[in-house]
Amino acid sequence: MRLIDNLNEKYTSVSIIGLAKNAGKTVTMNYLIEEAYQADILLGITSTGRDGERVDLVTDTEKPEIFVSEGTIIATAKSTLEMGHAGFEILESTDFTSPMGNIIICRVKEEGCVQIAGPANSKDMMKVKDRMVEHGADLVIIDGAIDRKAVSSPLITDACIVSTGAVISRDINKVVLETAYLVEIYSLARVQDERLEEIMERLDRTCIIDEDYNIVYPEIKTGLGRGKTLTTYVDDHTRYIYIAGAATSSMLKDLANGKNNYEIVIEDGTRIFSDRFSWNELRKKGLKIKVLNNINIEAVTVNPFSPYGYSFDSSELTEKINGCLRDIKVLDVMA
Amino acid sequence: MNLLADKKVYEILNMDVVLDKINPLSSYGIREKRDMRSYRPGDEEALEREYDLMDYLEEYYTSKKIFSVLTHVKDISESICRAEKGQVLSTVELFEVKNFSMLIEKTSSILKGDCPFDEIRVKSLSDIVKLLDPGGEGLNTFYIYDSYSDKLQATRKEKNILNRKIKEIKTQVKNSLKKDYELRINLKGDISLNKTETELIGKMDQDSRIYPSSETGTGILYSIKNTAEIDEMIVEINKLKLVEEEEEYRIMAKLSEKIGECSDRFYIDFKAIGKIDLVLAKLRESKVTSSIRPQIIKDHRIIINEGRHLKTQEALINKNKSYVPVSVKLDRPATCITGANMGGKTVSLKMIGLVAAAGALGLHVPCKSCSLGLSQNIFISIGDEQSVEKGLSTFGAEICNIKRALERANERCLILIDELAGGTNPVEGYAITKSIIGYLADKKSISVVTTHFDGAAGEEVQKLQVAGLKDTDMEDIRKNLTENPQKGMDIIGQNMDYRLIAADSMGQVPRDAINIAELMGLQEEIIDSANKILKGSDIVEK
Repeated sequence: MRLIDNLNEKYTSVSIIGLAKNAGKTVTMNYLIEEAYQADILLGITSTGRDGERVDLVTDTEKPEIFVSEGTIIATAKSTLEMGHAGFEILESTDFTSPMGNIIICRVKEEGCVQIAGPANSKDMMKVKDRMVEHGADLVIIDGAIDRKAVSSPLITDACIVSTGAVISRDINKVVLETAYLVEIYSLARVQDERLEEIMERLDRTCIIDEDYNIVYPEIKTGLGRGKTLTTYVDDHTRYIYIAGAATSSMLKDLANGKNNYEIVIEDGTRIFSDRFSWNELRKKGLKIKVLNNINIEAVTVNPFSPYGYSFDSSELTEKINGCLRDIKVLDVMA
Repeated sequence: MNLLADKKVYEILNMDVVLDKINPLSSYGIREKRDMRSYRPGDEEALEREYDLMDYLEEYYTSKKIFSVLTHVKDISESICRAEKGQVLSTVELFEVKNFSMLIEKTSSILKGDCPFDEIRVKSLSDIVKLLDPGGEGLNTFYIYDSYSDKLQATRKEKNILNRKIKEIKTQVKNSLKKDYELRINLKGDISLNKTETELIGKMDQDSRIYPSSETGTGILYSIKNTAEIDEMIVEINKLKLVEEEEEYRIMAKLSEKIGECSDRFYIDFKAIGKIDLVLAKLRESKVTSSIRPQIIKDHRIIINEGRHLKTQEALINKNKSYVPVSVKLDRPATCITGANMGGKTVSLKMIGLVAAAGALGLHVPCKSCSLGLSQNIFISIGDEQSVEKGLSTFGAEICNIKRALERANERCLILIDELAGGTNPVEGYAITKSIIGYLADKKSISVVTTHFDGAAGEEVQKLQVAGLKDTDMEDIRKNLTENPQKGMDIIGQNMDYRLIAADSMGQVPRDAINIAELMGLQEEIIDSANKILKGSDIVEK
């Protein structure tokens, strides 16, 4: 079964995120567009950042353009429409703004390469996504990003595809481990507890929740040493520790040292600021960590080429990553 | 906004509470709100008409259809301005003009046909809708449709035929390549290979159907080579594209020109939509604050029945307390209000100003009923106001302010003065108060002065006083207070009657100050002593 059929059957929106710059996000995008074209699936496409430029604005490396076929629905900033080649039918001029003008939803009348610059915040993105479905898109694809400040697209789409690639390291094993690590923290399990969900509204800052779901808000100054302060509030009756904002590895280390009758809860996987080694150490110590919003990773795409001039054997890389991520489909989109 | 008085006065009256509740939905309405005017003496008929318009539109204030129009209507004034100057509008702009025109048509179908008010009657833009919807599809999308010109249609058709031919040829090549190499070829017809696949590369280099189109450090990209036939067709397509683009531009220019010619109607519609939006926003504010249409009268009189000061009312409701509305009849030049501290004199004063200011702006007023004669200007002096930037003390600022008001006392203004000379020594304060009230007593303005000084008002002045502490058992209150000492203010508030009543006798000094001081727990010996002194002064006066 093609990836696109699988996605279209289960979801109405999918985001694509890259684990690093040049990990092959846009290649994945074009791959899906192509599959959709062949499967006759009407796509809605938008992005969280500016996309479709010939040269990546950040790293100055060559970047493939987004090639869209006739009928595709796109949501992009007004000023990008004048720059593209394809002809468009304007469907809606929205009030959502972006640095490049308000977001326009249109239908591609003539296939060609386009630039896409979508909404700049999650709330707008949600609405734009829905609007595209209303205009007839079978599946909305968001060229996304994991971002703590702007649009964290995986959290607002039904599923997410992660792009990884040789660009991460010259050592193939490092690429595999780093990918496995990032996929693990992004897809941390959601905490399944109805009573906790009932008091969700009150989780606006770091707090301790006991067996009877009483909430204590510790007085902590933000910054270093937060973990140590938190441990002083923990006892045998503690059920959860909710950490608002960033969970750093030093903080998690402090919390993993004590008794392990509680679970740590964070907003989502992007809140973890750690490296692979500290993370694995924490896991060994029995750290139990869950999220309020989980990211549903449907597939990992692999780009064996690095723009810096080296590459790996595609099947070796795919197999190795597959070995680490058992439940997730891994595929090479370049092959 | 054209205000009756200084911005500062509106701040003191807490008009912001009212104005912040008026939220038009469209940018046209927001513009109308900004341009709202105050009605002055002589404008009574225009103001009545404004209220008539509000009454007329009242049946639409819950209309979902109108709400939908107002939330969807975009500000296209810039585009219309550009079209008027002969500039060419972009497709997005043409799309927005089309939508605006469709919404105007919708508006005129929602509103009754026989509307007696010119300012809200929209001018039909059905010709523009037709212009931008040549196929009559009724869709609110826009494209430079084929039907705009035969040339465009023919060019596009020709281009499509060529494109299809190229695709067919390429698909054939693609299929043959797929068969020969068992490779995936992308939508554009490209094959990417890793440089390590030397055998395959060697084969491909020999293949005349493809060519290496780009190369990176490790990869190589092959594209399908165009046959001579394809190359010819591409040249032809590029020519056609140029023709298409020129034709599209010509059409856009033509459409823009026609839109520019109708700019007058667009400008009328901007105003009309803005006016409807503002009036509906005013009506929503009126419903939220339970306000009513005042009766506008030609003479300078203000009669308020159960008026409310909205900010104070909101603050009390937030604390789960009720607000006591106040009635007042100002049909003489000067009115003097006396009464104890905490009796709500200042709030009543502000309420009078608020009602007058809101009415003058064509808003409904927060009263049960109201007769309102318009004023030229509103002045207000609140005792504790300081002018730090001018380096004036409380008294200095107060006098400065009052001086400006007195200068215009003969111009049919509304002059509100709180605790006149309250901060200065009582002997002089009394003298100043008495002479100012005397000065205002025969002027053309309506003046309301609150004061502690008894007997400052002459015969011709209306004398009112706060009803004060209710005739409740003082013992009860006292008991309640000793049980809940922290609730002192609340308990007094509950037992206070804020209404204004006619002050019957001249000699009556309101006693509530001592009562309140006692209730709030001021030392007993002080209260006793004060009562003795008070008795003594009564004797002295008599």
